[in-house]
Amino acid sequence: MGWFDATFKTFGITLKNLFRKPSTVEFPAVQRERAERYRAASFALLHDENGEEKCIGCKFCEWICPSQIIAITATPKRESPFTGKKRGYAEDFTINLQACIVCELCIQVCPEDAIVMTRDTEQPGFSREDLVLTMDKLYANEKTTRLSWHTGAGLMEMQNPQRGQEKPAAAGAEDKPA
Amino acid sequence: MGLESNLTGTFVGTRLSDALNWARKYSLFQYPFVTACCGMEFMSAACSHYDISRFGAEIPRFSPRQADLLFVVGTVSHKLAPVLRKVYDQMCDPKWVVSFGACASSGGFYDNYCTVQGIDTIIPVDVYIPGCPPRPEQVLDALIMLQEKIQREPLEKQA
Repeated sequence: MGWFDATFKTFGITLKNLFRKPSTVEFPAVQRERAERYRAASFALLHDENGEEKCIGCKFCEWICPSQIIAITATPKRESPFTGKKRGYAEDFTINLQACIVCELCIQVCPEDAIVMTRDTEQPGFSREDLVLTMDKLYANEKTTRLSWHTGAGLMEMQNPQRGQEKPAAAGAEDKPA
Repeated sequence: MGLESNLTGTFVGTRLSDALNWARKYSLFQYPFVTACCGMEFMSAACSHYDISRFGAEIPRFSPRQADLLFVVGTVSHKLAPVLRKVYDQMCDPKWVVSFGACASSGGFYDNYCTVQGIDTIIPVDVYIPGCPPRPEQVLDALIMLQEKIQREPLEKQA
């Protein structure tokens, strides 16, 4: 009576699935949780503690970008009003998201940790021009979107070969209840 | 068609176009033109966690003649370009096109002799999705944007 058992088994599975919690996430209202280290194809430029732009217009990110989508116009060096040191500024900073492949190389080479990626995805556009991030949009992203943890210094710290070697003792000390 | 051009701008015409557009935007029959790795994200958008069918676009047609929404998913080379154009021409009006991911939108980082630098050089595109690959949520965002666009379309364009 194998066929008889099998029939009721399938009925049982159907019945079980009727009462299971649906796995569908009602997207526009609810967002699925993202991984801890998730990064989306969108960027933000940061300000330092004085409220001054961090980007010094060194063009490292422009040179390393595999898709060549970053365009920077740098100004000649001048004295910073806050620190008094001479430094460069970016006059214009444009990222064309049409071809961004989320490789994160621009974050890795940035010497000032001025550019970070975001955790919020970019909206689709009705034209190709809608996908271009201008400098105003990049500085607005710093405040309006959730930023990813990756910065140039953070990634160097994470990939430091010495990192795991001292940790066990320190981690053990942290784990002890105070 | 003569009837629609006479109705344009009248009360009956605007009500008719609202009703037609409402019906059209919730019954998009899609034709996924999948050529590359973005297809994985497209499958993810179609599967139960995101469930594209909540937006009325659940049935992929395997002939462009039965479809009205063309998803161009992935890199299009110059050898494939005539095929894409033929597929687009085979679709019945009204038809819409979504460019899915960096490669379809602009050629991506394949800036070389064999890759089409954006499918809008071959066919008209309604919505561009950035990302390499895009997240399924962006695909659903694009679908919602396309539905808004369809709802706004005037009657005379649908002839």
